[in-house]
Amino acid sequence: MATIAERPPRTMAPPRAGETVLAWMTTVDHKRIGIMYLATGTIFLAIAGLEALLMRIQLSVPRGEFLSPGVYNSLFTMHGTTMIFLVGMPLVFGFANYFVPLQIGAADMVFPKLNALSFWLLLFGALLLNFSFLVGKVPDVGWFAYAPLTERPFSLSNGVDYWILGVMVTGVGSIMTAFNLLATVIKLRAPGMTPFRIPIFTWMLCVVAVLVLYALPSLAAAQVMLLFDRHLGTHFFNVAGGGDAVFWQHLFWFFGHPEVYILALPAFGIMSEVVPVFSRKPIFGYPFVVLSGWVIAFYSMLVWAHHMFSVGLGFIPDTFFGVTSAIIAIPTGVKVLSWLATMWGGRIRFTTAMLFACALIVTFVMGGITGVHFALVPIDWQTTDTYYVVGHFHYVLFGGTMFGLLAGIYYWYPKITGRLLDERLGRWHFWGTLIGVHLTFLPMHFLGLMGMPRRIYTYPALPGWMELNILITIGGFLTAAATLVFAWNLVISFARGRPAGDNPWDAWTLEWATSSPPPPENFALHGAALPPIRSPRPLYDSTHPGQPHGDAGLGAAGRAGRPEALEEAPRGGARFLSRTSTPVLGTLLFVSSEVFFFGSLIVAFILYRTRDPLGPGPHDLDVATTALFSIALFASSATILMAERRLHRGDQAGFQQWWLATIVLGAIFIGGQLWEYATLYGEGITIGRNVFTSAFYTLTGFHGFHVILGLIALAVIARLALAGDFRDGRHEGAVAGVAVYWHFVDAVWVVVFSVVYLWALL
Amino acid sequence: MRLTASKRSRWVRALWLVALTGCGAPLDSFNTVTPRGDAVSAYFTLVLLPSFLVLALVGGALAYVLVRYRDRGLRDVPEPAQIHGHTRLEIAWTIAPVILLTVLFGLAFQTMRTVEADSPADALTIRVIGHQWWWEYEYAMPGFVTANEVHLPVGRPVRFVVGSADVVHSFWLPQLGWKKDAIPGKWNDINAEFTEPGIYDGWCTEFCGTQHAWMRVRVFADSPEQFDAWLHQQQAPAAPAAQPTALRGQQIFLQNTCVNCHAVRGTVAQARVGPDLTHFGARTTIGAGVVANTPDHLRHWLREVQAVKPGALMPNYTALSDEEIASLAEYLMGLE
Repeated sequence: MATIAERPPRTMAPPRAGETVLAWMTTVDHKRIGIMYLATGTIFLAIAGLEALLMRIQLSVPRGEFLSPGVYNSLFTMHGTTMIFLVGMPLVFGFANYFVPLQIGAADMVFPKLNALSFWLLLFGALLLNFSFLVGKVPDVGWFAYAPLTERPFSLSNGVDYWILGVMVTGVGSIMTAFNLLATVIKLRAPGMTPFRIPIFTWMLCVVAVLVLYALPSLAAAQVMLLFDRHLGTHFFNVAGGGDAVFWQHLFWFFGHPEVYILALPAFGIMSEVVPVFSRKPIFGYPFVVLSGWVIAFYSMLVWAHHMFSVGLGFIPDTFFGVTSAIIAIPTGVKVLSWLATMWGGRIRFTTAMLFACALIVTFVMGGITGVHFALVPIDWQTTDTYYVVGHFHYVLFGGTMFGLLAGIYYWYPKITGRLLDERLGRWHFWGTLIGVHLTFLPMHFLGLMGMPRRIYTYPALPGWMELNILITIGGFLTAAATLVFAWNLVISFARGRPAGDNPWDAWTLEWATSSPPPPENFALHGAALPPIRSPRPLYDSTHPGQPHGDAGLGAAGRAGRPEALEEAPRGGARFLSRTSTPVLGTLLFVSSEVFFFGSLIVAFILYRTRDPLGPGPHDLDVATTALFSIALFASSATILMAERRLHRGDQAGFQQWWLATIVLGAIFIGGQLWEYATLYGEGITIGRNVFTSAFYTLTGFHGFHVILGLIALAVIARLALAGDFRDGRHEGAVAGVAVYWHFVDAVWVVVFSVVYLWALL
Repeated sequence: MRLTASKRSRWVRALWLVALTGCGAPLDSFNTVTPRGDAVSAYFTLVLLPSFLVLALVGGALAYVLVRYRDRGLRDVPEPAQIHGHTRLEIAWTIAPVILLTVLFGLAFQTMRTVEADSPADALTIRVIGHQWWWEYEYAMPGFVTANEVHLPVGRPVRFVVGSADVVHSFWLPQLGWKKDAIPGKWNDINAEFTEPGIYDGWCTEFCGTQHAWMRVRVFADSPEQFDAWLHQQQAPAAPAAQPTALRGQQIFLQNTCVNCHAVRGTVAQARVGPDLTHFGARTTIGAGVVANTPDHLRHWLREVQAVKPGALMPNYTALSDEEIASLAEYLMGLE
């Protein structure tokens, strides 16, 4: 899956500007895509920061009239949405794209074209969302978009639609990036890089990828339902039509809380690179640091309702979600203590990267402690939706995520550009940011305790409120000024920075084993092959040949490593993964994400199927007829299996016949479904009748849509097969990938058919 | 227990005040006036102790490490010992927070029980209904409706039944001690007993649209006698306008679109879309807290509500003459 490098050799005459632009637009090089992600994130950081400053001007004085309430509401909506989806995630994916392949010694991502598509989807979604500014229909319902405020009667403008579609498009890109990253790490690790020798940054990105795969779909499902409510007249969250306002909150936070860790874990990963390198010691407790990431991810999917303690869910849910939320503090604490222990006894070099890493420890711990407060239900009841929360999560997202990403930029900029960032400017940036951030977000806690709610565009002249708000505004502008210094540093160092050399920090992971910037395909053109990988720190091992390397396996923590073969035979799950072909692996990861999308729709159906006892319900469905055309779909799983077998045997004609049979069976199913819809519509059972019809058509319709996509993929393969593209076992993987998708579509129908139709018979 | 708890929260409040030198800002979240709220603030205060302790430990350890192990720029210093971990130590510091969190959550559990306990049967039930951007209060016995300012007697259990007529709101008074969302299609209980008479202000805390900022809550905790007098006055329909300007104002009110949304009991105006105005003159604020209820403010409000509370679901009445506005204001102020 190696890509052809499109970058011209340096000896050639400089390309014209148009060619350069075209080269970047058509690139599939993970490094260039990484840079484009980082640039996108940085540009939107400036936009979102500007939005924040405008809000701070408005809030500096009581009854301020700088902004109208509508504009203020739009700004906080866009600030939140932009920071999460257009700053946080692009910066994370930028680092992931650039450094995960390098850290595992790979030439590129496993699916380079898909990688490019992911980026362009993200950029397109970002532009779509911000296009709303140009047409004056900016979303103004908060980044959490609580229904029913987002429903037509309360939000007539298309702002909500821009929010839905913009975010959804970026989400599709993110899911593609996620399974691409996972498949890359599974498939393209250099020889010798066993799981416990993977650098922690890469490990954390794997955790993040899993969270993206399984958390984002519930947001996409919720957005689809909301979009249908707004434009097809369904009633998912429309209370007047029988819908449920709280259901939106469940779906949103099932995504929303893991999202916090999607943004935080990469920063923790960067910390676990930066702290050891600048302390001249290996990370303390590698297995604990890695496992704590997985534990955090697992629990982060079980805590969503701690955002909903004031909803009145009841004693038992409140307790459950309170306990799971409090538990997350433990693996998070493990990480912090590991960083401290890594520094203990080391020789600490105060580079700007390390300064940000140290600042992260204190600042993030402050946000973490107030985070525990929100797990302790009674404190949450008092402080939720006040400025106490605003202070808390900015300590986490700025003091945690942002400080980590900034440390990452100072650490890796030399690798990306070949030049070091200026350390003197870096110090100005660091101290300005540190003071600015605390000045901005610390007073917010006090304002919250004094009674200031979130998301208010102004407030009356109450004692002390203006003083604290002015402090916050000053802090915000100080942070902005420091960021300008940073921007200048990025520019001036690119032109005039000190040349970095391959490994300016004397670091130990593989990205430092190649030139700065790395050549196309990373290591191949660099002369020497990769160093042998016997521990998480291959470059340390090669400069310390006498010392026993520490392998970081669970049992080996703290002990000298055992002499090991470079490559162990993979066992168990690892063996399954290494034997599965790459397209099949990619498809499996993708459909595992789809499970959560269909899961959300199925939950909606179960919630609403009999909620309206008077209107149409499951008893109106013609189960027998549907069963008949469902048989066609179930049978198609067998025919596609036959087709694969024939292909494997080299029987081209047999392959083509069975494959076409699969297409015919799939088409019969779609025809049956259309007939069913037509019949129901003839009886007046339309999608907008009640909550049952809303959920029924959305669930079965999305399944049908997946069948149609599958049919398109089948048809493409059929066309290629007729052209003889699959002779001699070529592209068998692609056929297998499509087959896996087709089996998945079938499996989903088994569940949907049971829940929607068979249940109706009971 | 309660006494110590509230003592402790006063102590914390004093500490905060020192931190906010010069502001004199009251930290109302710790200044609760209901026994259940006192339980919350006492619990919060208790949790702050280990919170600061953990922060001090981590911060102290970091400071120590940074000073002690900084690179002093000396040459020929041997490389630091390459320690990869210490399994027992790591297990220990995984388990230590489990113990702390178990204790804290045990106490949280207790506090939740206290806050969520049912009201006695004789509690005064008040239905609280959130609207874009005002609060409606429905008193069950005897039945009447009022808006934006709610009165209750000190020392008697009150049961707020919180719901919404449109989008999600949230009913919060910092000095009550906790909050509950007002969700359409769902009713939430807040059971409280106010122990100190006074006027307590709060807010809607769930973003609910354009004027979320001016959806304030105002609770009057009255003495039982004051409360009975207020109840008596509220039950009565509006007194007919007597004085000529007010009478003229009443005519204007009844002839204009005011009656499409507002009710004044005792007249033909019976709509329940906007706030009930039967005893409007007795209220201290206009527009859910946006301005004080004075004749000047009221005239401005009537003429140009969109300048006072942009986005409010009420039109400007710029077509009315100054004289008409003045009469209308006179009539409304007279509805005591």
